[in-house]
Amino acid sequence: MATHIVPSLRSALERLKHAGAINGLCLAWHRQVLVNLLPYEDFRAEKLIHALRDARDHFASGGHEVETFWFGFEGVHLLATQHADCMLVMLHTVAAEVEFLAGASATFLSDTQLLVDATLNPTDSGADSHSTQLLGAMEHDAPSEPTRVIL
Amino acid sequence: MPDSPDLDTSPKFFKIQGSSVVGDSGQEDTNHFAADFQGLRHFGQKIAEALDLEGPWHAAFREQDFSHFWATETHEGNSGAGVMVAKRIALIELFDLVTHD
Repeated sequence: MATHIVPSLRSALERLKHAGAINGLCLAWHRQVLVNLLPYEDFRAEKLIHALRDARDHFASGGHEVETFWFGFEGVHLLATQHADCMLVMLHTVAAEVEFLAGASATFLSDTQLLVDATLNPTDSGADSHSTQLLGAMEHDAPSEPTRVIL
Repeated sequence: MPDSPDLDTSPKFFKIQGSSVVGDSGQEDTNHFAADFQGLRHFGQKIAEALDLEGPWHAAFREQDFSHFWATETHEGNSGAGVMVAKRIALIELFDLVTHD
């Protein structure tokens, strides 16, 4: 799955990186790192995602369906936004940007989840799949000869 | 969606003094805040270890109808403080409430 969608996600994430004072980004699906644009090695990104998933599970067991975690460390803030199976982590330096970044993350994750769903379930993708039909499956009433219009 | 008339959506403030949490809104709320505070601090430490950082000085989580925030560096110096609200509140507003006011 990752090999199919990672190239397009990576380019979208590269653009998102310019949304504010962002030091790094990491996109994960469940506990799998899809794109690591953090200034850290992959094994650290994996540990980070595991810790955040554990946190999500911990709070879910207490009745909290957490959408967003936000932590402040010396010199940097970490924002983790979750949507369905996907999580986006941002390292950013300006606290005042957090709400804007949370909104941008939620939009990005919504699109990512659609992409993931479409990749995992290619025949079932699209909300309107039952109300539409494929062009190739339609019965053609048109004549086999091309139609001419004389001007 | 309008708030339930029974639901108290006012912010509830707490002080974090060493290993104890003190609040004015009753034992149940204080226990609730303390449990979430401990959980966030624990996972914040795990995240810090993963990224080779010092432990967190503030942390928050937010869901559709609940927000929780605490900081150990506030306008009162070393005394930590926190807030929880039964509403979805802007994180920067909670940050300012606890660290600046």
